Amino acid sequence: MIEVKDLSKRFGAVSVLQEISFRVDKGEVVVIIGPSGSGKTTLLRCLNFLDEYTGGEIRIDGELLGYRPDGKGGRVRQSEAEIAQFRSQVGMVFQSFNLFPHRSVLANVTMAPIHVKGLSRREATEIAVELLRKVGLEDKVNEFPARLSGGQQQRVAIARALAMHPKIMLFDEVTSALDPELVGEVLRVMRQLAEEGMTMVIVTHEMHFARDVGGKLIFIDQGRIVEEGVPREVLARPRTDRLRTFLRRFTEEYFL
Amino acid sequence: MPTVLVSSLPYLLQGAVNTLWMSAVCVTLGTVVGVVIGILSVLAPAVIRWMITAYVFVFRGTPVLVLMFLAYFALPAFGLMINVFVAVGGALVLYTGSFVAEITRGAILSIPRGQVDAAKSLGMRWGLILRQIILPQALKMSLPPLLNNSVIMIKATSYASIVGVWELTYAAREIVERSLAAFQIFLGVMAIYFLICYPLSVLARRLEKRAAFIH
Repeated sequence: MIEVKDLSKRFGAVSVLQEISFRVDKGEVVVIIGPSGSGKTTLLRCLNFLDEYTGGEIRIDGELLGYRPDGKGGRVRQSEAEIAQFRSQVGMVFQSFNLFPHRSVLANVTMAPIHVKGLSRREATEIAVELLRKVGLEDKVNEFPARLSGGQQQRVAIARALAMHPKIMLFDEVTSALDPELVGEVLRVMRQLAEEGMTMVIVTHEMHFARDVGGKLIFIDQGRIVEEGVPREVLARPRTDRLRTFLRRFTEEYFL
Repeated sequence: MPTVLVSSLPYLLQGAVNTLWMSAVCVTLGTVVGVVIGILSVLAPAVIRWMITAYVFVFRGTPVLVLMFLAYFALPAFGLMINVFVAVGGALVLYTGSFVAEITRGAILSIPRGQVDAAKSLGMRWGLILRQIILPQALKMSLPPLLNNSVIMIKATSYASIVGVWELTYAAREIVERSLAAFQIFLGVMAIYFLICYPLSVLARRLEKRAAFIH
């Protein structure tokens, strides 16, 4: 479903990603781990063109993302409309939730279905309420984000992304900003999504989640893929020193 | 004891009416112009943004009285015989606009970028993001500083008296010239300006408290 070939990204003179290649199949859960600054968030943001990759290709269902061949052997950036249209099929959840604070929980979830997809308020509300029920927040429908806990806000954010019925869901360290006791409720929702067959790309530090739910694990360091494979194996038997060093800080907390 | 003040009150109040008119028109126009320019200063192409920056720096860096003098003397020099009220009012509109533009721009830029990222990732386009996410929050957040700015501009109208526009301060000076009762007259005028400005300041303070509660 997602094919990344030789991807690279520079911010000015700084090269943040280089020679990144991997696939995500339909229904697969890919987990990306790595030290901070390794480029994993940038990689995720390239997958919905929030950051514009500068080299290589990303193809979703065979179609090149963000660029169009210009007929002269090169490529040109797609229009805002085309990119927006594509993004409505890829949901993203952020570390800092990014809910719209001036609107209610319900309005947060229905905004895009109504204004981007053109659904009626009634249809959008039905979808929203159902999704909020799914993430366990149907009684918070009319609350404002500021009144919710971090875990609740994140679950609203997940419902908001799901309301667009995306083909793919991207998660950027969605539990990193949460108090430990709130992490579980969010991971539970994500696990359920994975079990329902959603194609997911997850950047996380939650190693046991990666091991239990992930289908493929990718370890990125300094902008390159260093190791890749089945989570259980990669985590139990790291082949490189870099991964071993990275995992060391987790082995006291988790029995891997 | 303040006999001169009491007997001059009707005249002063007529002047106050002119002040209110001038304030209402110039501040409203200036605010509208400023909000539009503020939005453009964030979104427009580079050339326009550069021109806006120049406008804002020049007008915020010049005393409003000097701007009024310029309007009063410079326009006839170019052969434009414009009503003094319009010329001075225009200067005040542009002056107000430059401050409002900065207030608006600051409010827009203070919206956390994460919200824009989230909106984009839902497939929302810039027009929609502006209308639904950025402007509702930015404009609401701007209300207290805009109100405070209005108070400043209302007081700035008193400068117009120096170039011959008849309003409250001009009326006060006329009476003081005739009666020499400067202290009681200007005290009275101060009270009148205060009565005009105070409700706006109170409103601004109240809106500040409400905005603080939501965020």
